[in-house]
Amino acid sequence: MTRRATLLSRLAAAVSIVAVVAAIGVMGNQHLGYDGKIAPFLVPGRIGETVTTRTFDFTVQSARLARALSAAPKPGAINAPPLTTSGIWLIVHARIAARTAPVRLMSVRLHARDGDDYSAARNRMLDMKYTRWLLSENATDPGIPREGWLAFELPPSRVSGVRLRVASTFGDASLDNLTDIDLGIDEARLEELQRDAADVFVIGKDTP
Amino acid sequence: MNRTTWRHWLREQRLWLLGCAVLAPITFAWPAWEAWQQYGQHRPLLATDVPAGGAATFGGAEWRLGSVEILDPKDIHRSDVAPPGTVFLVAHFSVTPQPGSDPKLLASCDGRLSDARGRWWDATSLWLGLRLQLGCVAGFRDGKIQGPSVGAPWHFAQAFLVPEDAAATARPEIILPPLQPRYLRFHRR
Repeated sequence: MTRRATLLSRLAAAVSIVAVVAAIGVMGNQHLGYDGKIAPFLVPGRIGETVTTRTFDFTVQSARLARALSAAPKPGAINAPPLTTSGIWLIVHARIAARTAPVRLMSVRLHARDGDDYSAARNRMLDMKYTRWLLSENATDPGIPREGWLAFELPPSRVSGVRLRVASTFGDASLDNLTDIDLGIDEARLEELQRDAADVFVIGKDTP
Repeated sequence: MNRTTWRHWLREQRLWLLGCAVLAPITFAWPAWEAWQQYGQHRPLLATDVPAGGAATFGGAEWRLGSVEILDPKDIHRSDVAPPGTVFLVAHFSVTPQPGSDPKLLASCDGRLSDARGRWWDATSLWLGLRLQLGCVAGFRDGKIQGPSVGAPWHFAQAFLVPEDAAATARPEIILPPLQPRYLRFHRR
């Protein structure tokens, strides 16, 4: 073998080694981290569409804003003052239908455009007059769909572009379906919703 | 490698090859079996079917499905909690503990209802205003908590809120969580 041939052969080997190492590096960077591996499977949808997840079908029927929130009391019950907020209430009316087993929404969040999440208001709404209307507080059985409300308290500046993410598993809905429903609130719609925002929206009395 | 050397190689390596043929499936099957067992500890997966009118021994007791009633919510004045198109199904059971049965195991009992489409329902906790021993094995009777005694049938009922289309064919089930994945599934006809 001539000296030139030997040199070329060594060069080819070196290039091959570099290429393999580079390929391993690229593959390593493509590899999902732990969070990526256990991430939920987002099920996209829009307001008015039925979104089908592993355990339930979910349809958002309307979304509106209110400056304070109340609920129709049961006859004879004490009517507590409305729930006010330093932000604004976003109230979602929706329908849930369990597929094969009883379902309870364990994770209910609004995903804002900047990546922040807002959980559904629960602690302030533990009164029976609210819980009987809230989808997040009631289980749904197969064949018996339920309509109800979800309420969120958030800064008015974060309302535009929010997406509704609900799941029947706790926390981040790891390795399970998580809805990703566009509530259709762009800047123009936000202005419209703010103009129509009720001073006190009464769940169970006011129309969705 | 020609045919003679290939055969020679196979003969020489036969023990290793045999070992691989046995161990390779085991390396997949063993963890899969363990994972399935762990999964089944928390889920009723293996039904023991009980024919209509029959009884089955489960958890050291004999279980029997008596009658099944379908109640219109209007008839029991509970249409306020039952959405349109739903009925209450009440399944009447009896359980007779056998000598040596574990009362704690029997007291862990859960009732469930399933249909042929794979849907299932938990017993409802709604107050129905019925004069029945609702719940599972232990219950509040004559002013104190009581449970079944050996050899004596204990009667109880489980109530379910179900869609009308499921009521005619749904099968009541009895689950003892420590004995999962096994459970009893009672046929009605």
